[in-house]
Amino acid sequence: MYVLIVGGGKVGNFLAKTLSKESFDVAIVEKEDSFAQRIAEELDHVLVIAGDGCDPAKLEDAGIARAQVVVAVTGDDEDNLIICQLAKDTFGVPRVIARVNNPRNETTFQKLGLDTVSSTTIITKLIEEEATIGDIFTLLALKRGKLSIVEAILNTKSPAVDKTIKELKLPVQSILATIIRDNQIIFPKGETKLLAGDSVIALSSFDQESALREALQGKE
Amino acid sequence: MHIIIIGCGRVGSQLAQILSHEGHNVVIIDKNQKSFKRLGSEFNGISITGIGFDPDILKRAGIERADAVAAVTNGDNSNIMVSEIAKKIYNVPQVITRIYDPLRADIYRKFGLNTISTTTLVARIFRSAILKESSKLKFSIGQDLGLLEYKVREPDKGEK
Repeated sequence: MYVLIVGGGKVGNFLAKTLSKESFDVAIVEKEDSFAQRIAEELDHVLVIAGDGCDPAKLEDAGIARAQVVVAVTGDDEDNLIICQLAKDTFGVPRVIARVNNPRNETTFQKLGLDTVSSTTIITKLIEEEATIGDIFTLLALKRGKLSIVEAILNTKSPAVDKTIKELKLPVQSILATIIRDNQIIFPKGETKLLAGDSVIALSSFDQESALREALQGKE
Repeated sequence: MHIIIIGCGRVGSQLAQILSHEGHNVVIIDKNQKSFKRLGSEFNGISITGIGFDPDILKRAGIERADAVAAVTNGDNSNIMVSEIAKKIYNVPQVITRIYDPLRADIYRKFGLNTISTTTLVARIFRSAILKESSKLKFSIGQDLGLLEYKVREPDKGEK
């Protein structure tokens, strides 16, 4: 798969390194000559183009015509927007991803039909989760933090203990996937009874996580 | 008309002064507060310091009821981004985008933005001035359409 990265800062550089190790074909466009030079020296199997990624000619030099994925990770949101629109609408690249530096621009990008990744938003959500939710751990965040797989460990005080799944009042946008009890994996059914010490793995939307926590572990 | 101008440089400030003098309701946005000095004392519109494509700033500028938006900062990409927000998210009826790079101006015209490439425009005016053409380009829209002025002269003596 041919991946074109625009922006050779920390994110772009690291992404190029990771993807090229995973045997993707990678090209990177970087505006600053000195940055481009350094990337070219560091990474052997990456095509490095020095130039402005907002310039369609540079994108062509970097082989955008055969790119399956374009990732715009410059430090300027307006540049990332232009790069993605050029990639999507002018060159018809199937998968286009924009980095959003300022979270305030995230909705703008989405309203204009672009897929975004905002590290600020993701980190904020993760920290918020860690800070607010007691014994629920996020195992995996999906859909950029909107959906997560969480693990909750039940103690004797948990309101869910000694109840069957069907008796629990779980939030609508959540589902119990697995119960781990003494290293045994149990697939919960309506009649399954929860016990203290159970580790419950659930899928939940971010908004409903606190409701899920309340249902499983009670109010603080 | 409620008009929002983004960028208070030479063009933006002059545009703001003209429009506000004509009685329009003008809001001008620039990231640098010092730029507003260019507006002079007669400007009676509103000036807002901030990034032009910040949704909060645009809302404060009244984009929801704007009749027109002119994006004239010195950054082509910022101008494009503001214009797209105005046109596609807030459905502003009249959106005009200044783009220096003629290539990008062409591309975005095809995407439906009303772009003006001052680079092309000025280059053509210079060309016609240098070549002393009898026709003078007064105004051009895109690359294909322009307004020309012709001077009708008396035939020179000896000319048939």
